[in-house]
Amino acid sequence: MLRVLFSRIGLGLLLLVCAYPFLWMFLSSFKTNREIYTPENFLPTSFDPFAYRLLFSGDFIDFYEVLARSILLSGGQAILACLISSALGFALAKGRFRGKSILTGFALLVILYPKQAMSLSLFEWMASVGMTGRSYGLLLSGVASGLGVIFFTQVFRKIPDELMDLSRVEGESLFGSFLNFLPLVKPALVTYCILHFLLCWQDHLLPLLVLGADQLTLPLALAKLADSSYRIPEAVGLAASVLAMIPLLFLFGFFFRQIRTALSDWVIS
Amino acid sequence: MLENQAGTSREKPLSLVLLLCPFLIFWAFFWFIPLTGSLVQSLERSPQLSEDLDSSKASKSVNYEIAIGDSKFIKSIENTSLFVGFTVVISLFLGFFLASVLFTFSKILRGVFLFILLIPSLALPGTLATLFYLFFHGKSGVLNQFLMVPLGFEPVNWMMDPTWILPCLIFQAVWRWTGLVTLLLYCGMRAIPSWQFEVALIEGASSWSKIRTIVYPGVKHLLFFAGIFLFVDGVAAFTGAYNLLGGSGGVLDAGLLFVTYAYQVAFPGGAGRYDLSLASAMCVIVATFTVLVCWFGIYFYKQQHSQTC
Amino acid sequence: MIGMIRFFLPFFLAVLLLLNPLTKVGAELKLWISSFQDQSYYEQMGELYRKKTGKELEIQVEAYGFREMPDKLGAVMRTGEGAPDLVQLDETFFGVFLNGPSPFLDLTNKLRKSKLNKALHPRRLEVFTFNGKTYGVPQSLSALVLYYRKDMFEQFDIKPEDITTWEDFARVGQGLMDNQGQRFLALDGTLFDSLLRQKGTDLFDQNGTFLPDENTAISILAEFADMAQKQIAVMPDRGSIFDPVFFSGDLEMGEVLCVIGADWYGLDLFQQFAPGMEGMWGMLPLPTWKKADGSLGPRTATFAGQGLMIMNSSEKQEEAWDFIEFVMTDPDANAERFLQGNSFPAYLPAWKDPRLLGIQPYFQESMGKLLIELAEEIPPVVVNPGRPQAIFLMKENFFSSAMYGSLSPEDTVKQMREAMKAGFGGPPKE
Repeated sequence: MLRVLFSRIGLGLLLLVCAYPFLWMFLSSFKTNREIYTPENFLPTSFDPFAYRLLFSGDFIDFYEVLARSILLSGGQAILACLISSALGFALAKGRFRGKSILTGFALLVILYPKQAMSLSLFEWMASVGMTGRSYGLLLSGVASGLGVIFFTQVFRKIPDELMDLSRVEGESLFGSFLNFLPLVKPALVTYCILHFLLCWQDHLLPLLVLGADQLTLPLALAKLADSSYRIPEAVGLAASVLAMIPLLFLFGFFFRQIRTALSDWVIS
Repeated sequence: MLENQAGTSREKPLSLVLLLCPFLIFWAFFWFIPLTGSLVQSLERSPQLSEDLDSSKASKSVNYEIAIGDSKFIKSIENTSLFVGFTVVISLFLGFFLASVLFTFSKILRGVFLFILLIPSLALPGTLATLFYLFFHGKSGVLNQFLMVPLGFEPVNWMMDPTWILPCLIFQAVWRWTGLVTLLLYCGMRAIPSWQFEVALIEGASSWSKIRTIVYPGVKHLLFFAGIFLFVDGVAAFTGAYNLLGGSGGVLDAGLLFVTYAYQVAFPGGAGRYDLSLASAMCVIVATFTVLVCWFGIYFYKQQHSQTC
Repeated sequence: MIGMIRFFLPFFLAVLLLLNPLTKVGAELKLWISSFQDQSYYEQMGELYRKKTGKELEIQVEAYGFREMPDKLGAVMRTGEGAPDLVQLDETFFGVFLNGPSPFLDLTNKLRKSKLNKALHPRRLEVFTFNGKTYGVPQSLSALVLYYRKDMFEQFDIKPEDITTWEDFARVGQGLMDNQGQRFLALDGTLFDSLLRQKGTDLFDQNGTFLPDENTAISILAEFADMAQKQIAVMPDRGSIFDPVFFSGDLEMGEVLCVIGADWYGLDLFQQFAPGMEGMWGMLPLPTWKKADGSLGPRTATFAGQGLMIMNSSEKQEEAWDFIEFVMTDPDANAERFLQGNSFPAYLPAWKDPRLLGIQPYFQESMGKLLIELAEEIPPVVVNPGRPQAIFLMKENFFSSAMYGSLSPEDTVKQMREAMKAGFGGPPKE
């Protein structure tokens, strides 16, 4: 009984650490600098959304554009990565050809080689082919996802071989079967899409190097708002942080059940 | 193992092209070429360093020699190892604990709790750093006000005290990842067939032995997977430390992580240096090491796994 | 499947539309600056230039963060893509680009021809000069003064004229601490190199030796570490003296009575971050040290400050120079820089302008008069490619270690020397 009590207290504390600072952040987006710097204060003196007004006024950054760029970049990359890596994953799971372990090795290397360690040379390479300062360059740079390949290989392995044989008997090519089976793994597609979206959404170093000054993504915009040389009230940065979380909260909230189902299915393998 | 499935009949070439080529093209263009580039670059001297411009006789491995002899580089590796080690162990432990505690609640509450635990992982790393700085840190910050002072300690200047800088960075990383690890492990535990628990109930097993004999083996592969992911992510950690310490390593370089240091070496605004070649060499060393560690990890895990099965 | 395509198609179209590279047209001169504060100023100067000279020249100003700008500059230097024509770069980063061929145009002849080499403060021109060639034109004087709480000085009965040396300063601070428990001064790692110059040495000498006068360096660190450990002088609780949290926290709470800062610190940071403290602050010459002959050392030294450079790669070098010359010499351009809270100009003829000498509402004193009084005492800066790194190391690593006592002054200097040897310019030199 005591153990249950202790574990519940532990859970409660961790929940608090996960939720309370963010609640404080939301409330602080209405506060003056001075109120923010005394974090034991919980409620702001007034709920005047001046920070949100300033943020959208375009005086510091064009926040609509930043938000749109981040959503389209992460979304575009996530969808492409999803399609490309599920294709390879399917081939690895169900195809009959040689060299599968080499391909798996390629995908694993992408996961295991820390991405940040390659950012510099990736940046130079992209610059030499004229892709820097272009959002699509950044978008394409992340679509070869090793994690996706490993994930989808496992997902497609769980499709019974009988179904695959049936498809072959009907004369479908491997690619045709892939298209037919795609709807079967919709929860997995959605889940991977959202996870990739999350990782791309949070990426900082590569956008910093590749994009131009007038092409900010959310992490870059937040860094800019937090840079004291811009003389921006802290609340504006916090307001941007709050708004930057909303799309993800929405995505996760909306697809939460699907994500759990897909992950539960996936983990059995 | 993979080869076994390949039968005698081959796929149509067009099918294979359509399925494999998109990945391979992007892989070659955005991964393999830059990788080769960084290897080549690490063998050159930076053109910005005039002293070596005329003396092309310097050996090819000069950057590697400098890197190995650089005490700050070694320090950053030490810090990163500690950072990664603690982050992985604490996140996995907390995730495992939380996932198993969640099962004592009703289904609705489980969903709600899981979602709350996920909140930090949905925030941008920059947001986490800002929150740490504004909310937890400082004399009037929450950590001092609600933890140190009530326990009778002097307030700690977390980011200025060399003993506390690294724990703060670890805290940030654990805070960020625990939710996702919990979600993964929770899903894994849900997938454990319920008859195993029923058997245990009949045998009157204690909850500890249930965890040891059923739950842990059931999610072992997930723990391993999450561990690898956290390991690689930790080696590449940049944003959190960069935002928190303003691109420096903090007092006595106590919080100098590897990527921060590589950035300092590579870019003028980092620390007044500008040596991309040396930075490339450092990256190659660390990344190769990371890949090797993971590869061996996977290899041994698989061997062990096939023995027990 | 078709449904899926139909679902995603509009999305892809939107991606393509938004990400389509929008190339800006019509911009003639691209100027990169490293502070948001200066953006509106330079945009106005572009207009003023067109109005006064009648020349059709568009200035496209792109503002980056203080450190982000040199990063970006380093990146375009490698790739040659999208380089600006003009850059505004801080003196403390200038040295980074002195290794190897300079990316900046040698302006020595242009300065001589336009006689600007005589009209700009010589100590400031030196800051952008290396091996006899001048690459940048200084826009500010950036001389340090002591900002102090006038009201609290009165309350605690401290007379500004009693504080002429750092020794006096420590004594008064000790009294404050003993009697009132009040801290005196806020510290920052960037102070170190200015203090070195006040005491007659610098980070480098002309031969490139790092910390040529080691004993002086150790004595300065020891003196300030002593003050720090007695809580007379303190590092800010959070952030540095350049962060808003320092103003809203430490300053507004009355944690300290003095801060050391250059002209731009008082013109810009004080008024932006602590507008509510108007009238409470005054300005004094820095305390100093006595020289060997008993006379007072310089009562100021410079710290940081921006200059304008022309990129070697620019195809519009003449136009760029024309603009620089205008911004540096035009009376309105100089006055505006001061009035808008950027900095006090280094252009000597402007110093007679009454707009620069007037009483500042925030301080209720004339900053211009004080700066002009101190200007001839400014000690020279020795430029060296290793200077940016030395400043960074002191600011981010070693100064606080010494102040908190985690390293003794001797060890601080020793370790810093090691770090400089290992860190800069290739293999450790034996």
